[in-house]
Amino acid sequence: MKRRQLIKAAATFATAATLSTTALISTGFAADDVFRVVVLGGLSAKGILADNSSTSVLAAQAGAEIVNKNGGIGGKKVVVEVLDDQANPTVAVTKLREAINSSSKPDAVLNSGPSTIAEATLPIINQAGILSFNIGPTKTSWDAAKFPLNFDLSPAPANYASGFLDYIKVKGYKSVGIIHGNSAYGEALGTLMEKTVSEGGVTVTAKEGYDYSALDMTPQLDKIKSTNPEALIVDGYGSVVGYVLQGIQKLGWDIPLLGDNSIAATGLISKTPPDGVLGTDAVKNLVMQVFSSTKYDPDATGVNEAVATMKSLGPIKASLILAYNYDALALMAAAAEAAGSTDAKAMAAALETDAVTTAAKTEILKKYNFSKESHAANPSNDSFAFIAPSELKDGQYQ
Amino acid sequence: MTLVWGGLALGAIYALVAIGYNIVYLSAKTFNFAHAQLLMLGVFVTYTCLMEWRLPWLLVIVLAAAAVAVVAAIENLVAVRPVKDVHNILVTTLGASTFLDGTVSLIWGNQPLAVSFPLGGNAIDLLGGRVYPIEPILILLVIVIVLADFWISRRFLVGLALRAMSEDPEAAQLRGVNIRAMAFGAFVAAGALAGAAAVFVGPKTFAVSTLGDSLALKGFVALAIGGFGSMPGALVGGAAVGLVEILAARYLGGEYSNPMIFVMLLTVFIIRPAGLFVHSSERTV
Amino acid sequence: MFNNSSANRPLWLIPLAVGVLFLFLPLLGLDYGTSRQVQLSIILALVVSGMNLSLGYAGELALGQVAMYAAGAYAAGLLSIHGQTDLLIQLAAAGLSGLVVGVLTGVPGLRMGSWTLAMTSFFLVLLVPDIISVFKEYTGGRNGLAGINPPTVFGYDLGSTGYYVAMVLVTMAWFAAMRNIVASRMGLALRVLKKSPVLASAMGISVYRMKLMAYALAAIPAGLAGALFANLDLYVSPESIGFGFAVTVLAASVLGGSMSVYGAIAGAGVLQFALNYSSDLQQFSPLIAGVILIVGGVALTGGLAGMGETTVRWLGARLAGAGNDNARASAGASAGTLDHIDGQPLIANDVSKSFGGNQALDGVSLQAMPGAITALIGPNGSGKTTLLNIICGFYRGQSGEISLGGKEMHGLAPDRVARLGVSRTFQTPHIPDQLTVKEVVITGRYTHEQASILGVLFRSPRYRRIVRNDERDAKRVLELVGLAHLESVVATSLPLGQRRLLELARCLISNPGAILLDEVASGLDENEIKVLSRILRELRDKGSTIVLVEHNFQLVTSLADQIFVLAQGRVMSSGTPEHVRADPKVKREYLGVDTGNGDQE
Repeated sequence: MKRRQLIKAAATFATAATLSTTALISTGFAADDVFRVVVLGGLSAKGILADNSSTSVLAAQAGAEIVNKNGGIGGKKVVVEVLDDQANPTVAVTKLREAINSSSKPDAVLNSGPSTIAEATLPIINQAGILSFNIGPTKTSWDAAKFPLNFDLSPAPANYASGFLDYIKVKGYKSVGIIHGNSAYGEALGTLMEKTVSEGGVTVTAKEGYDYSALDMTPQLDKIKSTNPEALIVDGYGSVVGYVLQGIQKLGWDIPLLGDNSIAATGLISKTPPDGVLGTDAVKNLVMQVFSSTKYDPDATGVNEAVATMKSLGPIKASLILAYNYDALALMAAAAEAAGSTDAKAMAAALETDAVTTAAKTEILKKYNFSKESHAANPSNDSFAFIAPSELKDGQYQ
Repeated sequence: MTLVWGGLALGAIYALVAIGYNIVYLSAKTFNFAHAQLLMLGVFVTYTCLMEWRLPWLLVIVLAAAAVAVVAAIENLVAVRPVKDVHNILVTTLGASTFLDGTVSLIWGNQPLAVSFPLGGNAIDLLGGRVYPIEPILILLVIVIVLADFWISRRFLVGLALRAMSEDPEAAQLRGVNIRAMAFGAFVAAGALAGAAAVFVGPKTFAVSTLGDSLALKGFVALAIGGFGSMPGALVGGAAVGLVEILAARYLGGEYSNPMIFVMLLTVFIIRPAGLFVHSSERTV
Repeated sequence: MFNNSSANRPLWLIPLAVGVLFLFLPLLGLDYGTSRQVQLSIILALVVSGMNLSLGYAGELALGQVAMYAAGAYAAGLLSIHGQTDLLIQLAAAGLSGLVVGVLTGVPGLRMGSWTLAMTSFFLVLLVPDIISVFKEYTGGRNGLAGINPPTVFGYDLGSTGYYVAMVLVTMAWFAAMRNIVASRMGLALRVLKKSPVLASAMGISVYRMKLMAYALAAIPAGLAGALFANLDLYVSPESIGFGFAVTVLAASVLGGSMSVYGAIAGAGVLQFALNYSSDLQQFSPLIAGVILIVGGVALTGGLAGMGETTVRWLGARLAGAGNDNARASAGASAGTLDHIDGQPLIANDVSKSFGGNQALDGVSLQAMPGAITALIGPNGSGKTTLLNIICGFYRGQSGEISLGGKEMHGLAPDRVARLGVSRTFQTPHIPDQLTVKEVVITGRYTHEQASILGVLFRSPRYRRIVRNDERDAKRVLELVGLAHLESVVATSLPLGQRRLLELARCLISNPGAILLDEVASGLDENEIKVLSRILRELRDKGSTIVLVEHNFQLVTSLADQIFVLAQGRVMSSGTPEHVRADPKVKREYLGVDTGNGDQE
């Protein structure tokens, strides 16, 4: 099986080389009348980040295909260009500036990387007057006064945290411990989680961080265990999830585990042994916060169409949580239609209205609640679901 | 005690990497910065043989050793032997490590893959602590390797020749030791050892394409603490790094692990500049 | 990158022209992509240049540059966020921050050596994000430092072209400084240090201080580069200052040629463009990056600069014909031009030293007077090399006094002893690579008359005067030992006999109180020994204090005025050659035993 992946990878290589000059295949659009969407992603980043990026890229391409089928954005055909930023802000700035200064200036930029990329690129995108969507929220990326043309697709850590608080209250836990990674997101989530949860009247007994290159999290877990929380909130992606679960089992600690969506994006827990730990004691206490769309539902035709389209373009390596870019295309199509133009400012103004965000055929999150002041996604708490791990098929839990 | 076991097991993995660095260092006074990546490659080979092809466990050890030895041989021929300058070897072996990182993630993907262990994956009680069976076995393995090295280097001609080379390459050459062949052999042997040991490392660390990065530097710190060229030093250095990392994370917080390792490194250097197990010589002229 | 012999002097015009060319590139319609790559290359080149100074010239494998770069970037970024957008002030602050980090990490780091230092500094790089995290209130932690304002100069907004020009100018300024450091007597001293710390300290150079100075100076371009980086993207994050960057810097240094000034630019440029290209290949980029490092490392020994230099040398040799062919060693040394040498009495009194349980020296006393050749002889293991090392400060004896001209110096560090006027040669001559005969001799004068760093950088009048003295004295001593006609020959290419004479000249130029010659005749043929003997006698007649450490009994008895015979760590006999030769103990124990082998070490 793995040998085939090498061939597959070689094939991807060939496509990657041609991606930047995606040919205009379908008819019905004037050749020069295109809407250029640049996707920034860390395709050659290390580890699991690369899979996340590839899913983001796939989502954008699928979104473009659907939008093009329905007449494009403001009558223009959408062309997706992928820029590999290696998850490095300096590289992202280089590639982005090159794209902006090229003869074919992008009409929209989708940042599919972590918040550090957003920090580095948002001022540039904003200055160039380009519409942008971002899945790595920063402290100011939602602020319409600062970045009037940027919209955050991913809920802010505070949104996730408030979803956690709801769940914790439903379950009736009085105290929780938090363990998180030392990525920008992990740090932010840890801090906000502690704040939100304790403001909600739940005691946070301990909050511990770990290094992403560490191989054993038992010490942090042991420390949290000694404070006796009723549940443990876990952040992390990739192999560290395995180390955390190993540590919990080793300590013989029987405690409810509440994983965030990065846990849910980790393949290890969605595969049965021998590849993964699905169905073993390691995950018997685990529930994970995901979007409603991340769980397979035969009746959700819109989501299923999105998945089918993505699948037709390539394998979905990470979970559907990373597929926000699909929604970005839908949002832009709706905004251009309402504004009657593909002008960035006009589209941004349209996106601030409830009518447009309601009309947009977004699937990953049902509804984005952008307003004049705040361009944060602000999804309602019922957009989140807590589910037990199950097999992940095409980015969805079954 | 659970944490002590964990720290020692972690230290054993660092020590395995340090031993690999050491074998190459003794034979050629240089370092293979891609050694941790060779170990990682071994873990992935183990995954494929053990989990996908379901081969018998002992055969997997042999296959992993052979596969990594071949890769090490290629690395030596391409990236080490043609290089004339020591600093360039630093660059070429770092290049090899980048290359191996990329290759592994292309072939096996980026998701962590579980590797099982015949003695089971459930934690057991041992001397007042909870451990996975693999942990004491890792500790035992690295001790056995160091003892075996002790024995080989004194009882067998090849070991003696290696020691002689590391003491004085010119004199060794005059005595008929084929330095180039020995250095190549040691490089490949280090690879084979990494491959075989990887079968034991995998169950603790998973097969993951970032493993090399996690191990490379800590393995080196273990080596530096013990002293370059000393096998018992690698063992003790590994244990020290593992324990400090775990205990700092437990009692100070995760963000203090690396700084505390750094503090230990500096302390050792200030007290014994050449490492714990190597005497610095006064003679200079 | 080139030695500073007069023939090569106009070569700085070429880099200057290249710099000016880069300065005007925007006018020639430079497209954005290329100018961005040029800017990133410039930043990388500055950091690499710092590494070249410490790795290539001082021989210290340390990757601390990345930490200094981070310090510079954060210093500039924080200033900008707090309203100080003036680029010049930021550059000064960043350079200073880099310097502070350089000194702070250098002070403990440089006490270690080689791989130990390399590892410690590798690890330090790993800690940079942790340190940034600890101060996250100010630095933005792992999210990075956002909100940096566009740079200004004296209140004027630079704009992107203006900033490009500013970057090129800063780079040109640093490389001019770097060139002035390397192509100076300080650069020569650094090469001595790299060749052998033992040699450097025997010449009076404090190894530690010299290394620290190189390391700290190397921090400045890294700090400047940090400031330029912060103002380029107006954002700094720990992710762009990690281990990967350290590896890139190291690779660029090695590929460009660590021991070169302009190799940094070549290496940085090649690597920056190549890695940028490889990132277009997405998940294949690690493979390509790996291949670049391997191929570069294999193909380029001495780096691109080394290759360039070889080409230039080859061309030069072609053009000049074989004009510079070194003449055969002329046996007849011309009469020296130094009129009088101010030798000092060197006195060792009751010196003892044991290694573990082995008593190497047991109450040895020795007197060497000006205007006399004093010989110290003895069989293997008799302790004569140990005594030499104790006198020079490499060992410390357990007891006893050693003085030169009445000044007590037992237990002082070797460089202090050398500065007090004890000069020595080595059994195997220690000659730094790639220096000409004249340059090697000049290094001997380094601590005799020292110039300040600022003097070196700006070529102050004082510095120029010192250089004139260097040249004049080098000429004199080379004439004295008969090597004047070889002054522009690469010193390591000389035959052994001439290398020994060269070492002697290097000793003489510092006008030492005493000269210690370690096995100076070993490996020389009869003719060469004759030349050497004549020169030594001449020096003695001018008033020099000369100590021969020898096992060649024949030579010693014909040359020395006074002989001390060591056996088993004690002085067995001493006096005039006639007296010693007649001593029955010497006859029995020494002459009978001597097999003609050199004293090991």
